[in-house]
Amino acid sequence: MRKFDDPKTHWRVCGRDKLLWRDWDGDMVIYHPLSGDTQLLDVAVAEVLKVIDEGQATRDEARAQLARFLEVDNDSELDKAVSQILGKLDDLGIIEPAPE
Amino acid sequence: MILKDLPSETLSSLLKGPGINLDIGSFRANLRTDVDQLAQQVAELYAEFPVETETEICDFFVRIAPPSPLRRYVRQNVCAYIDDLDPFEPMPRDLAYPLLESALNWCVASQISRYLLLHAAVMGRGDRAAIFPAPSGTGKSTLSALLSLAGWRLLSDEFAILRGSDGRLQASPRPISLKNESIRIIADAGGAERLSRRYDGTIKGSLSYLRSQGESLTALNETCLPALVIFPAFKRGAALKVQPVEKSEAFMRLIDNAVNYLLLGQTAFETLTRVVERCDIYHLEYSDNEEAIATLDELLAAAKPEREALAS
Repeated sequence: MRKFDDPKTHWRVCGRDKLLWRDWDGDMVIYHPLSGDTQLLDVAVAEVLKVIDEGQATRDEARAQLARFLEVDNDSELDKAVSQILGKLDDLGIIEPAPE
Repeated sequence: MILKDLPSETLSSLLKGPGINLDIGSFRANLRTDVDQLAQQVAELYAEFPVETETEICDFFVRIAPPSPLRRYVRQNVCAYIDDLDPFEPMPRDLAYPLLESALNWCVASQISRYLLLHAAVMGRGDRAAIFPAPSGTGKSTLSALLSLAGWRLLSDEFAILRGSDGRLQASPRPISLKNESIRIIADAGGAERLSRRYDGTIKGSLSYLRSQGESLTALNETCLPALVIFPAFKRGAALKVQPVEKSEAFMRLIDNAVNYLLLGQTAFETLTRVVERCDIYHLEYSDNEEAIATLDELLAAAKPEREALAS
């Protein structure tokens, strides 16, 4: 099982420093102090990242927050989208699984 | 003291010896050369710039000289020596001045980390400035030169120099480099007396340089508030088009134009954030220069950069 498919995995932001955010008309720009990278994120990706940046979050917690934010059903389609978002953020080196 | 106050014999002697410390706004460059024609061209194009004779503290040390004594006589090439580096191919001696300008650009881009630098022209009126981030070939320098002839203040034709402490723009109003067709456009627009001689046969084609004057030099050390960001695109035959650019898109495009964003990290992020939040931001497509300048006059007058400045 891929780690972002495991609902029990807790995700956290890589590095000790908090992300820097700017929200302009719904689009989010983030600065990741550990890597020095800046990313432009759409609202869904940004919302998932916000949940994780507040502490740690599992896929289920991120999905629930995204369903509330987008006002959509918390269903399997959304679950698939959240998995993809976690995979993308992981690939970018912004989040990582927290040690158990 | 400004450069033209130095007698030509003194200038020549200094350039062949310890060099002159030229104040080019945000930076001080020590220049040395034993190429007489280059000394004359520097004297002409930097005539109104301050020179320091009392200090040895400079940001850059640039020497333009033949690669070997023999090259004074055979295949008369010159090189640009920057500290101990020699980053450019030798050039014919006749192109010593364009080589000097390239060397100064190289120095700023590779040696300055106390400011956030963007590849952009910056033109101002009063306390406000417009930033024109654009790669070569988009008409950026032609537009800068036309704005300069229209009374705008040149802060810089090559780099937006942003202070991290307050996000204001510093100046380095070195001569504007014009290429090929642009030279005729600027001459026809009333700039002929300010243009240098033509330098033919460079890798960019023919070059000429527009001498800075007026407020660009009297306000050399005065900063401006960024008020406009304009992504210009000269397109032959196109009707004037002014389109607002989303701040998030503009932010990412400015990063693409930044020289030292990764090096400055969080400071660069925060500095660019201030620029984007303060400025009105547009894509400007044009073919008629006069129409573009009138539009830029209106856009700068309408911009309200004080909002963010007062709020902070």
